[in-house]
Amino acid sequence: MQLHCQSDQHQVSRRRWLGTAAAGTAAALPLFDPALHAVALQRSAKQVLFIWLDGGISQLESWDPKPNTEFGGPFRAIPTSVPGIHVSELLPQTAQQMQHLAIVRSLCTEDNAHSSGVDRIQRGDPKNRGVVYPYFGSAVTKLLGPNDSGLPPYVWIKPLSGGFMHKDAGFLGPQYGSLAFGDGKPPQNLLQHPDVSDQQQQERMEIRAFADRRYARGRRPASTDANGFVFSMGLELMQRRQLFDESTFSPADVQRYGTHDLGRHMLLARRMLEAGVQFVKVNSYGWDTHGDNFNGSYSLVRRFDQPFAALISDLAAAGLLDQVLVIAMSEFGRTPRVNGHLGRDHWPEAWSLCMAGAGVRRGIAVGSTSDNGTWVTSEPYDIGHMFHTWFSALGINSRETAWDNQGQPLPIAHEDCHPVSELLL
Amino acid sequence: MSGSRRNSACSGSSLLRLLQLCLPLLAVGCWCCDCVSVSADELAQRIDSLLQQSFTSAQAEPGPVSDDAEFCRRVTLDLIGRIPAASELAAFLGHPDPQRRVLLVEQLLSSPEHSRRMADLFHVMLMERRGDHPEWLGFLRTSFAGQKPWDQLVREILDPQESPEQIRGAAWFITRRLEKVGQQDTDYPGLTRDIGRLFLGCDLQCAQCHDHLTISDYRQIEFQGLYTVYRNTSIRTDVKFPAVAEKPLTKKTDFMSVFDKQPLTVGPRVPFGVEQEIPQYESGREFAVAPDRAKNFPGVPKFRGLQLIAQSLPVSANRRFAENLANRLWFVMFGTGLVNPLDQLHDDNPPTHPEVLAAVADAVTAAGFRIQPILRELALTQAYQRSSAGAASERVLYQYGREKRLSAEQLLASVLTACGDGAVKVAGDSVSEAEQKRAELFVRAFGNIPGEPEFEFSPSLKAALFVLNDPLLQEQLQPGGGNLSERLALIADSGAVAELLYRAVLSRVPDAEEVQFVSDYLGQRADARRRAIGNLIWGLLASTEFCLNH
Amino acid sequence: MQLTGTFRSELRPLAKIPTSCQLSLLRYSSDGSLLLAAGRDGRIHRWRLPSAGLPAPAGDGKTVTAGPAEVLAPWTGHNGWVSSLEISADGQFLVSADTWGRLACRAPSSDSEQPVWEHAEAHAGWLRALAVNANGSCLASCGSDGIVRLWNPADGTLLRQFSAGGQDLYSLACHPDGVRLAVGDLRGGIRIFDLRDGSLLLTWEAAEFYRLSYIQEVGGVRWLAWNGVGSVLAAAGCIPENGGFVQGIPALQLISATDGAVIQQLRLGDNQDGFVHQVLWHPQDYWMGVCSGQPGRGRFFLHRIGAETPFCQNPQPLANCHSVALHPLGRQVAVLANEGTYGQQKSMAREGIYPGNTSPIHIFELPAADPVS
Repeated sequence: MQLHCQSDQHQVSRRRWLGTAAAGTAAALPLFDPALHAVALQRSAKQVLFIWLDGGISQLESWDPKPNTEFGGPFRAIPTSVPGIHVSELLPQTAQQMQHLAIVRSLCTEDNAHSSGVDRIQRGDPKNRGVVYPYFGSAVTKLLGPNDSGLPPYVWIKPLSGGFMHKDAGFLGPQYGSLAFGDGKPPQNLLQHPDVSDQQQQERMEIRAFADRRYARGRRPASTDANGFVFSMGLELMQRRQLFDESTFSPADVQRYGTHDLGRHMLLARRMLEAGVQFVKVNSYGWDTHGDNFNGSYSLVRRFDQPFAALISDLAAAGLLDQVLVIAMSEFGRTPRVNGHLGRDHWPEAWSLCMAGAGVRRGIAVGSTSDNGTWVTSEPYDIGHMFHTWFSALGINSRETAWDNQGQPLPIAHEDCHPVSELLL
Repeated sequence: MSGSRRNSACSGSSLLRLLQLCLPLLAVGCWCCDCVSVSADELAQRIDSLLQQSFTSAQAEPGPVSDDAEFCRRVTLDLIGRIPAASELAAFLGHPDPQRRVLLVEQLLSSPEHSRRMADLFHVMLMERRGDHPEWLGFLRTSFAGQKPWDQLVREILDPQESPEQIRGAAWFITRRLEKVGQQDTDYPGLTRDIGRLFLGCDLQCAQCHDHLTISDYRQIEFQGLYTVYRNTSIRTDVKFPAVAEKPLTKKTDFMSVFDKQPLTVGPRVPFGVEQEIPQYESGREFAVAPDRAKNFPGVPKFRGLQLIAQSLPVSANRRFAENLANRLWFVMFGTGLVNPLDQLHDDNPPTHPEVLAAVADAVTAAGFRIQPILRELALTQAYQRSSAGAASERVLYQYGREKRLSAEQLLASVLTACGDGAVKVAGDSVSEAEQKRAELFVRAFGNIPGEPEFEFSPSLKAALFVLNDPLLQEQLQPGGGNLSERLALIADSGAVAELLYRAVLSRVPDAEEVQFVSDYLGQRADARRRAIGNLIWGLLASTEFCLNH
Repeated sequence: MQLTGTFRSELRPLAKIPTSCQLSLLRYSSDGSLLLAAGRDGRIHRWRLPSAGLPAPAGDGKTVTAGPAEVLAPWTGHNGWVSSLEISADGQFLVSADTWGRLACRAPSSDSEQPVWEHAEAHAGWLRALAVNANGSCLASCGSDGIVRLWNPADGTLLRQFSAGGQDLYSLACHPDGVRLAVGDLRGGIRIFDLRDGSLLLTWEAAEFYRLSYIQEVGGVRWLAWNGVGSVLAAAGCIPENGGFVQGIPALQLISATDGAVIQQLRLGDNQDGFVHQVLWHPQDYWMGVCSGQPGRGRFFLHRIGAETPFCQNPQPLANCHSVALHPLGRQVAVLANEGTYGQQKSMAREGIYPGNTSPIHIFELPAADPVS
């Protein structure tokens, strides 16, 4: 029986929905709420690449191998470009990029369910305060503020369908949602109509803007702002449509990243980052290997390894690794115990992620697990620690910065957690 | 703040509510229930008086009344699903009768376009963009054309019948939700949840696994008792039209809270209602109509959960049923529910104006769940007629009118009206393939993703790109066939162009600044006047003013 | 698809031998006195049994005893998982392989820890399958690297190698004629080679055994087996519906050796039932196979070619069966199933208590008389 229960999303913030006279805010149109602001921050050139391996990549078949142990599985561990750090043989190319990377092996989190876990992890699993916290991407783009690229700040490259995903933004308001490109394809209607010249387009937009200025007089700006925003975004994307044009991808790149979905999507992600998109999220699905985990990992991990290594290498070569924070993770790890279907089940008790780039130390592996991989033996880190660390890496003071949700101050990361200094420069 | 239910004599303590549900069911459409305090006719006044109280206590003044153009556009969109044609606007603006607003409301309500608008509105509300089906749409259109009361409509949805043929499409509400998606199991919990959300205003999603953590009235039993009925349903495969099969309901559902692990059971039960005993039949005697394996006919059990729900849920004694409709009709007209979100009616989420909700719910019951009289009253309130211009100064809800999202259907009809030849055409029942394609394009561009209710105005990139580049809109701007573009091109005087342009597209008279703007622009583009006119139409169609109801 | 219909004969459970870890393959020695198993702990597990097979349990014939199985010291020397285990027909050679690419050869009755010969890197990476031809002159190996290598079992010299059309070879089966070799791969490809010169004789695609789900390649021809006279090749796998969990319908294709025509396609369950992991020919003219899917799902079945459904399967539920081995006298089989705790349970991991699953061996007596077909 399918369960709908998403136990952490039970609450609807009453502050949002009670159109209280005193607050004077229109509860039904929560866009661009003027009362909502964070502490002002300097404009930053920092960017983020967030690779989400949906379903739970097995840490034992990737970042924290335990060959020849009871639950180690069939694969070997291989040395990396950093002496003393080994990864699974399924990451041969990433192993050669280890000098740029930081592995965290000591994640220990609460939730072992996908439906709630994915959300909790991506929202930083804050304390329950009756508000819906934003996804990491929405939070970052809000905190960093717009950069000069003119492109949508938070882009999501994923298989299947695309569209504007406003739910990511939580209480920040829908405009901080992500713009998803289904299968990395550009949105429909990206090409200017052949009968409409650039000049005409410009005139049309001026007329539209005139009409909106006139309409907005005496009204709250939420609607005209939101509408204007999507039109500008549309025009900007139209101008940048060659970003999506696969014929402009170099064949050598296509070869190096791989022609499979994740390869193509990671290559598009690199182009987005090069063009200045502030936060790029890439999703890969199918990692929930409850069955046939080892053949599954053989396919999945290697197909992640190829484009991930290419991308790290390319970012490093272009000098972008100093300003781009790269994170690759899932919602939890997988059980040491192998089940009857030769799969591994969910294991939030001890798992790993990989990060690199802006503000992060390079060539390290932080944290350790027991010999058989069942438990974290060093200081365990919850996702809150990671959020603190990532915000810090981006130059945001994670402990002093707070959201202001209609007068309600909210920590940007779980207040019981702290940045992991070992990971930071 | 006490909930509306506690004020009205019809409800009250939950014990009283229980007793009422135990009573033999009264005839539907309780016209003369003594405990109802407001009849449909007095509703408008009652609402305004209650709202005035809220203004007074906040020391606020209601905003100004909308002008005729603003009102005409608003009510036309709300009641017949499109903007008024320029000629209709002119007729209204020039109408001598001081009661012209009342007359307009009544004229719109009796127009054949009204029932089509209602069908579209409830299609979106009930199916939430999960596609469409000709029999389902036919069911809705026929129902609203015949002014079918809401309780009867809901009954036909909850317990769909094979005949008469024009109502059998109601089954699609259930069968669509029973269709499997990919590898997932049939989503019985999703269907159960939607019954609660859409017909009772209660989202019991989080009560599936345990009593709701924060809402005390949503207990696990509310979900599980309803689920007992729906887990027995399936799609009939022996017929080509949408139809629901039921297995004999023989045993209760076992459930357990994920928190306290106490095993419990429940039989079929309307949420917040009374559990029904399951009659036991000898094996082989549970069917009123026996199944026929050869024909794949599933049979009709004697005891049917769907019948039970249909008999017990959409009734006047079920206060939540009336409140849900009241709240949703209010939302349609005012752009916000008295309770928000629309599917969170419960004691810990009180209405912003409990007495208003009570009044509307009473009127809904008194009107026998007929929707038109309620819409009429809501349209005739002073609150509905307030201008939304100046809403930035609003301190108290309903001081000003508010913006409302337009559906894809309303947008398409409005674009066609604005850009067309000015004659008013009523959409017939049969739809050409071209019209069908157009409708699909608009839904794709402006509709939400399946399963997501369309409450707020959330402009999307997809919609912006559609407006910017899609050939469909560009075609509308090409002069030809006496359309707006062509007629405007034939007008020499720029002022007159501005006049017709604004009346046709934005349903109002342009002000001096706007006339000047149009004149200046046409003056600059004298070499390409036709194209310039197209640009002007586009600019107004793409404006926020056009794509909202305000 | 549920298996329906009554089974006309019954398997009689004789014994259940507990094991200390998960195992993947079972083999009887050629005299039936030893039972050997490839362990997922990198060891070759061994038991001594009475050569004639296990006696029937006393009493009601339903209760199963552990049986008089003497546990012998496991052979070490492999790494990762022991992935393949084969014994030559004459019983001289026991060859074993592991997922790190090592290939080793021992005398089955020897107690020596050391193999007679071994190659640490017989293949690059996972060595998936081994096969020894009928006269014991040739040992074939294959694996992830896509190469088939032929060795002399006596001393391990490499006789020949050839590519088998790509990567990720999963299964091997030597034809009774000693000359032909069937090779199956991840993508449903089945090829027949001539061992004498490595030439490709036949090739066909069992496309239904493969699916690309997002970026995961799912499926594979998991096992190949010839019938007694070598006229029919059985290919075992599943029809994958998705990756991740891996849901798939267990499938068996019976193929004519002469022209590759599919004689029969069997579906052995629903999409929770997973893979047919192994299939074996019984001299009484029927196939035996094992299936394993979602935890708790599995079966051991007997199937006569041409029949709609298997004529016999495990009498009690048997979870996750991965291997079946036939006692040389042909009347008893040993089946590997899975047993253990629910995977996601934390147990008392922090205190060091975290038991893994095991693969108990179930020994059955096969139906004695020829079942009515």
